[in-house]
Amino acid sequence: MKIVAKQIDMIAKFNREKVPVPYKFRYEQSSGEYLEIKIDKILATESRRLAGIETIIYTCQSEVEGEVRMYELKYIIGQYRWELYKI
Amino acid sequence: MTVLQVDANSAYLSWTAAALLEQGYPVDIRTVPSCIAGNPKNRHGIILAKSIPAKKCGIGTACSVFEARERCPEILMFPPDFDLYLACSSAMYELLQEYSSVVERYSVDECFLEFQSSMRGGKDALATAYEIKERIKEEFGFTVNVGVGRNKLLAKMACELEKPDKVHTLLDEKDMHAKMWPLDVNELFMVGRATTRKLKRININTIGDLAQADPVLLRTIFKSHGQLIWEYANGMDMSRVIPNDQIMQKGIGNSMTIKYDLTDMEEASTYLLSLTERVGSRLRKHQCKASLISVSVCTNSFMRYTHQMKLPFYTDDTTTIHRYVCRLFAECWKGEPVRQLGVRTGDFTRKDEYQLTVFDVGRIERDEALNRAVDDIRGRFGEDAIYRGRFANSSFRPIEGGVNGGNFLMMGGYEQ
Repeated sequence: MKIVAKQIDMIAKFNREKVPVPYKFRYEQSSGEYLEIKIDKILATESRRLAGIETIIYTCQSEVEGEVRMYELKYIIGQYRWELYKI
Repeated sequence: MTVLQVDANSAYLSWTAAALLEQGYPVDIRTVPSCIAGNPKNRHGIILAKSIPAKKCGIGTACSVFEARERCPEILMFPPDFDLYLACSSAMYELLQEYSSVVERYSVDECFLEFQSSMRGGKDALATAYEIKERIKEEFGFTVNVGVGRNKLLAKMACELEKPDKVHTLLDEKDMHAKMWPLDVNELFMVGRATTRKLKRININTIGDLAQADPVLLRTIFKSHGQLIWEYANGMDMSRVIPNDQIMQKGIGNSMTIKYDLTDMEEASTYLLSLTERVGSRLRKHQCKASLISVSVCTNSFMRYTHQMKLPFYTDDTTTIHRYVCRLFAECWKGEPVRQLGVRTGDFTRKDEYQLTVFDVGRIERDEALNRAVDDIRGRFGEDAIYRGRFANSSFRPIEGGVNGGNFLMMGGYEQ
């Protein structure tokens, strides 16, 4: 996986569990088209404080254009922002 | 007593590096010539921090952007991000609080902690120091130096020994003789350029020379400072690690470099007012009233002078302080172009225990209520929410001074 750190639009669930659960997201491809991806499986979550910035990293798995891919999503707590971190 | 000092290695640069790597920046800027520098357009074009490869090219802190580009054309420059630095500093401070209940935030990148073996399973100081260093590297992505000493001075000296990512100890006489005494005397804390020059003149070249010198001789040359540096050279320091909220602040001041050379009295007064706004709000936040006011001026030829006065009363009112600031400025300014202006207040008393004057009570109470209201509005709706009419429709900012709009930690670890 390679770091891409791309901003994405996200729909996430905030329920009684401690961390928000990502549901589906879309991001702008280089062609300008939006690609929508539903999160099939969250494999792991990890809280990090690299450079003092509080984040939650989700390792997820989805089917992207007919292919099962693994990638990481990042929720930056202080900025209320989601990123496609690595793919 | 054992004291640990934790110091982030080239703090601004490694914090920026950690954040950039996190965002997928292709290189670790710590490993290539790079620096953090202000914007030359606003006349803030000096190097704030540099990487170790940049240091090897002969670039030092506080050299100008122009000089840096001359010495190393391929240098990478990044603007400072003070919110990030504050976040990194706070993260470090929080981690250190797990190891000791007595932590002093000495500046944005340095902390002292009194070692308490009862915290975290009774490990010894050295093991704790290594654990802190490794945890910071692992969790936050930047490296620190940890100095272990039997007092604050020795911890600080140990911390400065060799960088980066190291733990050093100065715990006994043997350590001190072997590691500290061979160093050049200007490496000693509180020995600056002027003192070094005078010491070299009497053939004191290393810290060891200073330690073995006659303190009476040093006292005759340097007065009480001679005694202090002699004690420091011998590793004597009685000061305690004090949590920041228990330190009494002695002065509050702000300064600013102006984008152009100032020659007009009216404009100078406006700049001084915007600085006084910041100083006044900080005074009130610290629950202090001041009776000493001083103005500092730096001209375009880098001549600096200050002028101060003692008031017969205590005040924290912006308008009152500004009135005296302007009077001081008018008295000392000789009309030359001004590059930098500063306002300082000192000689504090607590807000609730000052002497009232018979005739001014009503006015003081009215002013206090007004200042309180203004501070509250700014606290709730932002600093630009309310300002004086003088700043309306002008290019002046209503509040000036302070790093990152006042939202930063400076030496002493005070929030501004």
